[in-house]
Amino acid sequence: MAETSRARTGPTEGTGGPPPSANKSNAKFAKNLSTSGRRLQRELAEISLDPPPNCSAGPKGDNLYEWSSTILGPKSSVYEGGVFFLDIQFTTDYPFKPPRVVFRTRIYHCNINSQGAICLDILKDNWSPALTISKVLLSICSLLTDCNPNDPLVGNIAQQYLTNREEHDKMAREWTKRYAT
Amino acid sequence: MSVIVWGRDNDYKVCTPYPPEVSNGIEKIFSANKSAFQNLGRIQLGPFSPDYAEFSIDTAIMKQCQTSSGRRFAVERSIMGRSSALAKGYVWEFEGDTQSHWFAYDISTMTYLEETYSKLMKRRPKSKKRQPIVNMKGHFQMQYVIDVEKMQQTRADTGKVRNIQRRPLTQAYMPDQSYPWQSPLSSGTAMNVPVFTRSSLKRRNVAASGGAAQQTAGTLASKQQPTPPAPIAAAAAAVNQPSAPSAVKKSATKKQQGLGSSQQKGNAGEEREPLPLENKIRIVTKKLKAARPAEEVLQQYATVIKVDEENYGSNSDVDTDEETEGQENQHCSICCDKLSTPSGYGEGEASANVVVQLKRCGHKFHRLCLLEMYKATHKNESLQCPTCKLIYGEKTGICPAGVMKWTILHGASVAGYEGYDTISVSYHIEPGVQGPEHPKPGQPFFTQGFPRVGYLPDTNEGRKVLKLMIEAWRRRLMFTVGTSYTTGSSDVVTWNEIHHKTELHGNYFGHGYPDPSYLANVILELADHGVTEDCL
Repeated sequence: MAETSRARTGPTEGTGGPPPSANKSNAKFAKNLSTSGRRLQRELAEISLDPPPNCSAGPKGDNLYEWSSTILGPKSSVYEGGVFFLDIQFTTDYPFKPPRVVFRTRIYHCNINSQGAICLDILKDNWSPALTISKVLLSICSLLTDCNPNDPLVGNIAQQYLTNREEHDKMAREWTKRYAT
Repeated sequence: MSVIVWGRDNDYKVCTPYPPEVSNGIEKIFSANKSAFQNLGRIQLGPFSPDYAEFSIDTAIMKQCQTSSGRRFAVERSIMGRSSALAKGYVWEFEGDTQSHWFAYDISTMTYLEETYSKLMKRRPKSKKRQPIVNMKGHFQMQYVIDVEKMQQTRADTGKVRNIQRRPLTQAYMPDQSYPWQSPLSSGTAMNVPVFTRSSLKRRNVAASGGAAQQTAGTLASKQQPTPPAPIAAAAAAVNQPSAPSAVKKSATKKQQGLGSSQQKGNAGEEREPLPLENKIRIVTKKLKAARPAEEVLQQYATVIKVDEENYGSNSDVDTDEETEGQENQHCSICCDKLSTPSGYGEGEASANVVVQLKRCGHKFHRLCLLEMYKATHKNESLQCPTCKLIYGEKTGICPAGVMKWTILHGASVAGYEGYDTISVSYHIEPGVQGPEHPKPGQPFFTQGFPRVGYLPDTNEGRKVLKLMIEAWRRRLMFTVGTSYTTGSSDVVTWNEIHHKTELHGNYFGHGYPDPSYLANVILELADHGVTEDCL
């Protein structure tokens, strides 16, 4: 049985510093680095001073392009009481390309899969340079309050949400308790 | 003919196909139950193949479970296009650590191997253009270089070499009956192709003759049960037949009659929105025409309102009615710096102080910031306001070349639109090499799950959406190249925020009907891309 797949090396992790950006001349790279870095500094200052409700975010270490964030499960939602950790990765193309945001904490949600990937339009094609990480976190909070079962990433959770809401909510609360507290 | 292939994720979250006997067994159960499939509970795979004795599928969570280890892997149902190895009746495998113990590659890798292989076979043995090497470095976390001529796979970091093979399948995968342009009704529609290239012409003929050969079988099939999988040899023979022009014409006329009747059908009482004229729309990726310089494009959409510090105050008073004290604190939403301070994109340059205002929405930015934003896109001479998303010019996308087709499925209704026929819209994109407009020019891109099919109710609103979708497809907005959120793999063709209902029966994967707000939502999504009724 083909369960034993080929041995492969894991993804090559960057050792600090901004993520490599292919097909760019060094000069352009350096320029992007300074401007994206400056904007990130601004956002960091803003989010530290005035964080969106129930959220916090900041660089993991001394790399400005790798952040982590926590979101508290919104009140009166099935995630209430849970603390959810997220990873945020910026590129030197920021803010022209969206950041990559993933949940590190397991969550029972039809728009967030087991890998932590979030199906949210503003993190894809609907991204705009006018958005900030603060606004992204707010959008994620509202996704936790109101999921979108008609565009699911996890089909069976969406299905359950639509057909057996009670069971869905029970499962979501159970997962919140098990993984996020 | 495309085939239906069931597979499950391997340790690297890429889908590996089940052998035909297992896949077809699952598909039979799936097609017999459709939306009730998830209620079946456990399907044992042992009866399909003794190799799978300790495996079962839990249909409620769509995972494969192993009795002894308890390990679970996500299960997927894919439709593989006729150019895929599996549809042609071959499987790509690599040798395990014990000799002559072979394992199947995942579906995506297989697609790319087959593409390279079939290109190689078309070249003369001594041609310099022969390119047998598939470089998989950086894709799906793999570090392999694969040679489809020597049939060897080399691991880049360790140099370890393994044998690979392209083995004929002993049994065919279940053909996909829902694949609209293979059905007898639409097999001859190649007549409408607007663009003829040599290769497209060749493909057309193959498709037409293949379709014609299956015409009788297909007609029966649409009325009753799906036909059992044809022997591979027969299918291959049909594909290799020289094109038969008379058969093509015949089926084309049939198609037109079919269309006509559907148009008349809805006429009972209500005025019907006419169907689009073309039912097969091919997009080709042209070389980008010498684009106008970014500065010129910007000039078209934005007015300069501040040249430097000194005359800022006076000019802005004239241009806007807003309070002046607010202006001092206004930020450029691209660099997040104040408009009264220089842009972050022109350190020390005088031009960094220039502020522009977009002509229609009135939002203000540093000129250099807006220029940088334009340069970060694929320079399509359109601009979208970052603040309000208003589109200036015609927004186009980076969807690779491909074919979109639609057809009416007579007598089939989606939930919530009972009594109406269904429009089936399908897209086919082949894997290829990324162009200058893509994230990694020169690198390959992959396709997963093509042809992709979406369903619309054949109501007036549904027909309107169909026309808008055709326009979005023409503007290369329907798909994009990037990282898939569903599978996590990079450099793949993914949907681009214009949602399709990919399930005709039921709503098992959450992408089906009923969804009363779907048509209204998709119209909004199309409008987000600048595709509205005004464009038609």
